[in-house]
Amino acid sequence: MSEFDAIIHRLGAAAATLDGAIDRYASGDVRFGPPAYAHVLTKVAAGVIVTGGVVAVPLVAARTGDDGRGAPSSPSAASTATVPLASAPDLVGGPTLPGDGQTFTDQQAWDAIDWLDSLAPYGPEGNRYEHLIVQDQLEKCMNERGFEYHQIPFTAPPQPRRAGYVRVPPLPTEEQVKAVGYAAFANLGGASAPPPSSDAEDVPATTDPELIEANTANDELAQSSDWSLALYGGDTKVGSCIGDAFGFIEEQVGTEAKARYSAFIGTILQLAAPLDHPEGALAAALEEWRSCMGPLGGEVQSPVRAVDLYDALLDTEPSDEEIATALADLRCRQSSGFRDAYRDAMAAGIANFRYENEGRIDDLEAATRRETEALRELAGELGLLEPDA
Amino acid sequence: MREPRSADDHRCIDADADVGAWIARFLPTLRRALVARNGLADGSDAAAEAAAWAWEHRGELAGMTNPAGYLYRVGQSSLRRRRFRDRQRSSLIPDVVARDSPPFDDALFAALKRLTEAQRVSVVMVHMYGFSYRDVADVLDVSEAAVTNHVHRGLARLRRIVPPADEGTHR
Repeated sequence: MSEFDAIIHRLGAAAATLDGAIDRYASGDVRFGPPAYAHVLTKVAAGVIVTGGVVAVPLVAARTGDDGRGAPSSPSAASTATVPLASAPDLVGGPTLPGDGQTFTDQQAWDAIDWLDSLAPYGPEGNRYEHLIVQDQLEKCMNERGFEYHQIPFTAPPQPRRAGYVRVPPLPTEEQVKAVGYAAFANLGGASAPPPSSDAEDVPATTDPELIEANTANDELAQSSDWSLALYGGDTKVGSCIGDAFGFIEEQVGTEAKARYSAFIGTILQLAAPLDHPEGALAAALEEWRSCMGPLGGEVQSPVRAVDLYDALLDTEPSDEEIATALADLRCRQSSGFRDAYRDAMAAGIANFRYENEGRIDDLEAATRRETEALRELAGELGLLEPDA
Repeated sequence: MREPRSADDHRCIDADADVGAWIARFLPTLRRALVARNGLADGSDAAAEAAAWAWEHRGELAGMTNPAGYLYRVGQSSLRRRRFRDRQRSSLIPDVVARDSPPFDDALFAALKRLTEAQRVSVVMVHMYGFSYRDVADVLDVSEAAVTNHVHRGLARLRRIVPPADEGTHR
């Protein structure tokens, strides 16, 4: 079984875990603090789902004024060229290990995150070579199995390395908060903002006519289950074309960078999220913020995460309650020093990581460079690169 | 209104059909999609709100060409009220659940969190639950081509960042 097929297998095996968690949450077995809306589910289940609509539903918190059609008004996605490995910012600044209390600039914090992301195997150039090779292999494999396949052209994904990370965008002004509520926090992200979360904004590739054409053609072909099975697998004896394609790359290029990166993955996932284990100045600022917010904080355990704020952009008119809460949040973030403490904790964590793992990181970066170059050579040998590439 | 492809087709509801039964059939799909995008707590609650909305507005629902996609958006919009969320609430599977769910592939779920939302929903729905591209496209209210693209990119990224099973699974 190829590595790709193994991931497909693991995804399938994880369905029971996720369904089990959903069932437990719906049953009230899992709670993270009131109020939660799961009670609505229970009542719906009792009144509608089970009886098929015979019993009237005791609606709780139904939003009759919200038709769910809020027009996304996300800020324009900013350019996010990944920091090249060779120019990764040096936050360590010498042999002294950064400790609690060290301060960083915003730019240093963003650069630290970008550097962290740049550790992922291959990098932007390698991703392009990999895509070209995979598509070439897919077409050959599918043709050998008697199927047609249309290669999907490469398009750089939008801010792929920003997604999922906690960000500390600049704080808005009070006037901005009064005008748009929590949307002000997100709109001010500017160049350091996370990507918009609306589906419409998340499919920039649909503007590429070649991509649309290839995808549409493959969609038609995918109506045949045999075609889908050949491409994505399902029969572990025969394997999938996409699994074979990635397996081919692994054979030709190697997997050292991935193996080295895997050894860091647990740490990397935690580094950019210091709120998971707040310590020192961050813990103190967090406590100060909670105290400052008082009852307005509700069930909140920390200031709203920047990524989450994009949900606020789905609707247009903030309520008075939202504006009042957002104003309080703004003032509490300022008075508690939370934002700076968060930034410093995040940057210090990454700096420590670099300092403590310097040798291993050097090895990883060297392996990445070797494999990216090997990918480029392989793509060239297969005739997939422009003559001057 | 399009003709249903099968008894399980959730893309349209016949005006004479039992809306409650339709909601019952579609709710698990909606809940899975919203959980995949927003995490266990918020996703479950959003699905509950969407289901409640669906029942209250069942008359409107019956006339829609894509009620599944509409309810997905209702669920997403409902989260706007949930402005205050800590990290635990937004986890795809919170630690408190993971600890009690052996064997738990935490490396896989951690990697899923690193995908874009659309990639995560598409990968989870297609490859975790086995939904068709058409069904996922309806739920997300996007084209099948978009779902194909999300799945392809999502799987390629997972392949790069997911460590081998024996390195990231609680047993």
